[in-house]
Amino acid sequence: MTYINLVLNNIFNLIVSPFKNISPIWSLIFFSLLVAILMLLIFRSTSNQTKIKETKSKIRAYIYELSLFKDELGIVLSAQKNVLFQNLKYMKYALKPMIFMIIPLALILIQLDSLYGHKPLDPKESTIVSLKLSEDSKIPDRISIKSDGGLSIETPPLRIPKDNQVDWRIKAQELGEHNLIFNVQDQEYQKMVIVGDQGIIRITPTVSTPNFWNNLLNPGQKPLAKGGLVKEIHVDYKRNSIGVFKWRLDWLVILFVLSIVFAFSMKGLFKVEI
Amino acid sequence: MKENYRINLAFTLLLITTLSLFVSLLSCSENKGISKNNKSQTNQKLIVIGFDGMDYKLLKNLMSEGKLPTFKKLSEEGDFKPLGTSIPPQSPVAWSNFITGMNPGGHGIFDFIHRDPETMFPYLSTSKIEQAQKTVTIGKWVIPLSSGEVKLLRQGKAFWEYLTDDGIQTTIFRVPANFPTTTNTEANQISGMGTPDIQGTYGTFSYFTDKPPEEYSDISGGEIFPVRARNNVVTAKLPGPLNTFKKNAPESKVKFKVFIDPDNPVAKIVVQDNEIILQEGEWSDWVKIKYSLVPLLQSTTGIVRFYIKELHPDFKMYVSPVNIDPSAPALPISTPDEYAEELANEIGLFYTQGIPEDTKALSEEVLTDNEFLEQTNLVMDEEMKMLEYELERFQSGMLFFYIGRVDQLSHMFWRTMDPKHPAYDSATELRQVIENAYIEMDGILAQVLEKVDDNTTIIVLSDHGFAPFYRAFNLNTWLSKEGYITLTNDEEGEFFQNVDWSSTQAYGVGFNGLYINLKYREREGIIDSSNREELLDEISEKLLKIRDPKNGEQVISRVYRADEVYSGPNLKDAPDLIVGYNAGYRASWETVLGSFPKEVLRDNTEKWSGDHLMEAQLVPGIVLSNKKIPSESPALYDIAPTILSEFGIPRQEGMIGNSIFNSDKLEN
Repeated sequence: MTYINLVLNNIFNLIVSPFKNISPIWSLIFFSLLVAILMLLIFRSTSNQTKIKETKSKIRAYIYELSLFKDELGIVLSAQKNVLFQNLKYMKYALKPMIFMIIPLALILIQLDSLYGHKPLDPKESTIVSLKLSEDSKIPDRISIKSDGGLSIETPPLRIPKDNQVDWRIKAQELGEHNLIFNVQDQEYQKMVIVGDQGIIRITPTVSTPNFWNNLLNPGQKPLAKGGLVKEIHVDYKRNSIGVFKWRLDWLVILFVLSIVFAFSMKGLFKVEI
Repeated sequence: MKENYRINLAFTLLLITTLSLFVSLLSCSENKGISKNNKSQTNQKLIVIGFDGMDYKLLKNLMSEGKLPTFKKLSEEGDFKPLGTSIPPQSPVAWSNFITGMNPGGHGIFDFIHRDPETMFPYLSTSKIEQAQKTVTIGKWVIPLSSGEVKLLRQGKAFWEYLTDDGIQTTIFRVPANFPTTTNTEANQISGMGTPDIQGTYGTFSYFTDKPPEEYSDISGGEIFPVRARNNVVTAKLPGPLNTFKKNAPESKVKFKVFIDPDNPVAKIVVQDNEIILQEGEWSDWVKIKYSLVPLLQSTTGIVRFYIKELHPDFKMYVSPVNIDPSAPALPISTPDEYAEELANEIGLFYTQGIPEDTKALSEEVLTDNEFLEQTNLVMDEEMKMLEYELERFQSGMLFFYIGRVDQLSHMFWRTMDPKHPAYDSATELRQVIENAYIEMDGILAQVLEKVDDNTTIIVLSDHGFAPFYRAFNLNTWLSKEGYITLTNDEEGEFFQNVDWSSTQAYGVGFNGLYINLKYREREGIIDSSNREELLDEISEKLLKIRDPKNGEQVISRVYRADEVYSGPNLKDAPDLIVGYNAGYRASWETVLGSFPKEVLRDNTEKWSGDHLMEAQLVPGIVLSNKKIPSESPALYDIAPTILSEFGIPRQEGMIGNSIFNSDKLEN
């Protein structure tokens, strides 16, 4: 998974690079277009286009029947039953391409979330850093945190024995990529913290010990070493939102709406029956 | 087929182009103010700064000592005079005079507290929140069939309504007695004193502790919640608004946890999606709290600040009153509606409750003097950000900005600078608090003056001055002892519960109001209107004769007759007499809401130690301007006509004053 992440990270970094210093909405529009094309191509190649076309025609026909015989209760009920049945059939035909779409879409969405999902810390902004110890460890006495610069540690460690967790409040002081260095009973761990004020910056709030799901969901940073005392380090970045007119929306909403709009407007171009 | 392909291609390109256009537009529209009143028909600019409670004598003394260079400069280049306050000199009354150019007979605000003559129950004078009148109850749920209403009770047109009618861009910032904000005007307004918290009170703090004081059930302005830390975790509930969607409107609550480090003075508060780490002695930023009223259908959001007083050995945590969230206001705190949200986006969340300084928490000793000062500094920081934001975008028209710091600090810290005060502590290190507040205001004024050019008139004013509050007078107890009130028992009571109205002639409500129990006005009135005059004369005469047994001083220096000092359509609702206390004296807290403590006079040993609810002439406000003020005795009700006249708008119907920049002031 680590190698797949590495490849994907580079591809997405490359795509996003021309958009880095302009409003994120532009790159999101571009990604929406790419996602729409990808969805159309997968849908075309994995679905039974003839059957879908046939089912949609039948649905249209039964709806037409509904309007023609609206005074004939028997026909109306039968047409409604048929519309429902054809809809279920349509869903059946759509299921296969959906299954094929899940994996590439999931990888894309995870990548996009690491690019758009969280805001880097603003200079002078405080946040919480949590360190979770592995289940079989107790919170040791010797535990410390320091920054290699650009961050200040505002509080002593807050130990929560019940959750095997230690928290600190840190404060961003300077723009840039900074490292927090944890020392847990002479074992050293690092977590990168991003302080930024503009552009699209890849953010990985959590690093954890390697396993498939952790690696899949946290593509931006190398996992922690296996077998250590620490299981997970989390920086509490705020969720990001993107300005669209007077609203601020999550990137996922924008991508969802735009990719659907693009897909429907380009289905003829790609000769896809949706 | 090819045709179809071309159409699709063209459509796609059109879509992309349209989207691009929209995106460009939205990029352009980001971070711009949303003020609706974009009309700008004048180069004339007027900035009015309202320093609540700034005292004429104190200001003059500090100016002469050279501690307020900006005030001094402004007074030398323009003018500086005492400003006649309202009768009585209470902020909602005074600022209503300012807003309308009328006296209380015109705008109908006579005191902080009015009474309903039908029920004899006291109520807050400036606004009224009414729940839905028509509802249907299904099981435990109450479904409203009509909407509730929030009413501003101040009558008369505000000066900014005339300004915006004439196309003058206007911003009115936190003026008291303006909740809900005036509608029918394009002025940007954010409400001030009189704005409730989300519980509908004027500010109710919460205090969570495992060491509650012995008597904590009836503290004023807050609630104390005893808690226990189990395995270093405190679990408690934060009270919120009454849930009127449920039968009997129970208080809605939100659960939260505090994780305490076993040794270090640090804790994590976890409430809903928020996690906050605080050390002892630290204040949190604003935290949004969502109260669910009907699951998935109806909720309301408030904002709070947490303050950790102590973690070891005892747990002590203060939580601010739940303020209305300005980014999604549950009540009408701004006009246009989006103005509060715009401010929140620009400067961050901010206190929206009318009086943000938590004086009750200090009075109840939940916060210490220094902790209270820190809290007021948070308020001040927010106000400064707002002022900077408004000054930055002020181009033309009128800007009014209100600052309540001097008033609140003068109330709470008079005892630190006045050795005669019963609560004076000679060891205090806080003697300079009030003086420092004046010096801070000097700095703010300097910042404002940087914005003043040749086209700008600046007026700096206060609504009233200040005096010590040494002794508290129980007006209702005195009336009872003099035989004007008959009680059914000897208890202190409250809200006149123990008053026998069938043999009561007069009663006091609010801080300065005295009413005759008049037939056909009060529900159980007994005094004929033909006997009213005689009774008023008799009570007035007796009030003026009261001497303090402690020092022989006159307690009440003036008694005003409403029909002599008020004019206008609301005179009928006025108290019959307005009691003007001598400097050092004031109505007791108990008498305001109809209680009857045993003694008539008592020492005021509370932290609330300075006041102004006295004879109006004893506590004048201030007015300074960069223009000469020829008017010999400018008063608050002159300011509205002054503002209008600066933009060439004549004095309006109902206004009783005249421009302070005219020498030919008419007698009213």
